[in-house]
Amino acid sequence: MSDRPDKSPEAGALAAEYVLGLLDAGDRAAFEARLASEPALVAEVRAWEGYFATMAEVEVEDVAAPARVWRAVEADLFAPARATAPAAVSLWDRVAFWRGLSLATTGLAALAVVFAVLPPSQPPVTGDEPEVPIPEGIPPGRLLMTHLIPTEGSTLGLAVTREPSGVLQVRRVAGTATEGRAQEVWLILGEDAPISLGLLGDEPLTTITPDAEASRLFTAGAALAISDEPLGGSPTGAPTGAVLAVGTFVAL
Amino acid sequence: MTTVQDLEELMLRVQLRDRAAFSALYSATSSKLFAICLRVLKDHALAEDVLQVVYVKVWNKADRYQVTGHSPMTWLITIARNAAIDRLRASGPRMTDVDDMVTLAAPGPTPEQSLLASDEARRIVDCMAGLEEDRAAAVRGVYLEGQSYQDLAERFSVPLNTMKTWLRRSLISLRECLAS
Repeated sequence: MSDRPDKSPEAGALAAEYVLGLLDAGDRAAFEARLASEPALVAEVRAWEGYFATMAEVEVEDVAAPARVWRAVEADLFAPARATAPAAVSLWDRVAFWRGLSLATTGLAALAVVFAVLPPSQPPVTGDEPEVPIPEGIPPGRLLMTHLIPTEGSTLGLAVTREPSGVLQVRRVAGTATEGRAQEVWLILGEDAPISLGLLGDEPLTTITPDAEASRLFTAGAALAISDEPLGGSPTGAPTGAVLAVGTFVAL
Repeated sequence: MTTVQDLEELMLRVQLRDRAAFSALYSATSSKLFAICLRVLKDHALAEDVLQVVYVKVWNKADRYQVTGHSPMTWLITIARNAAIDRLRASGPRMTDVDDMVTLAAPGPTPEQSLLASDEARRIVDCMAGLEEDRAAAVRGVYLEGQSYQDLAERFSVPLNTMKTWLRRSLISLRECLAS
């Protein structure tokens, strides 16, 4: 091979040890210093990198990576800069998508709830009376609600009301808690990082009282999402698992 | 099947910031790189994490590819393997990162020569097969599982210095076989 000048076998073995990562810090630094002035050694390193990589290419059977890795790579490289963890960004992208969908469906969900809670004597809602306000901030004392619809592959659905006091009543209407996992509730406003509101309990109804700061952020148009997380909730403060359900608040 | 020439072409386009080419490169190579990360780390979540970091590096450092003179797969596998080993080892010297890989400033194989990759593959497989079984296993253990001399000495129940001598001899035989 013309690309491999003659040299001692020991130099070849040393280059292999370097490529393999077998040298301790001192020997490694000394070897790197030699690389600067010994082109033959550089060729030796490159040859070993090629041989070992080729060995791995031939001997290690392919394993398909989950699609979320590619989504995370794309989000890291091509999403507009956001000060959140990479996993949160990819989740955010999905939330944005599902929120678009839920905006179209929340009006219907709100109508259904209005039917359910109004006394029977009330005339039925007609198209002439705008029972579902246009999202534009919420007057004090108004009730906010949303229906969280399951995302693809999830069965979790929730009905959520936010009482004028700020307390959230979150009720599972479809799906259950997952053994060994937590379901975390996030408030999402525009392009900001999701804000954790807490975890869903195992019981169908969970009551959440957001702190004063988070309470001020609830408006019609804000989205709520549930993510799958390790027990105890997201370790990073940002969503790390799949989005299970998502919806957008409307004022009643 | 993506050929070496296809991958060379994709790498070139990735250097020109072609996202479609990057997506195609990922499709063609991520299963191999994920398998290698998984082999080193033996943990799905960690391997996914490293794989993500690797492809972010590949995009950001694509211009470093050509100066190494490696074939695309060798370049990608070396980055992935080194990143996985670094993740595996909480301490100790860092492996060579993408910026520090040796470059073509020195005599060595050119990118054209890397088209001979299939010959090289046959040669390394044959030469590994020529090693005694436990010595080949030791070489694999180091490259694919990040084992240290200490790990190997324990695995093969020999003193540390014996292990070093033993593996160096194996590397010398391997090198002689590969050069022949």
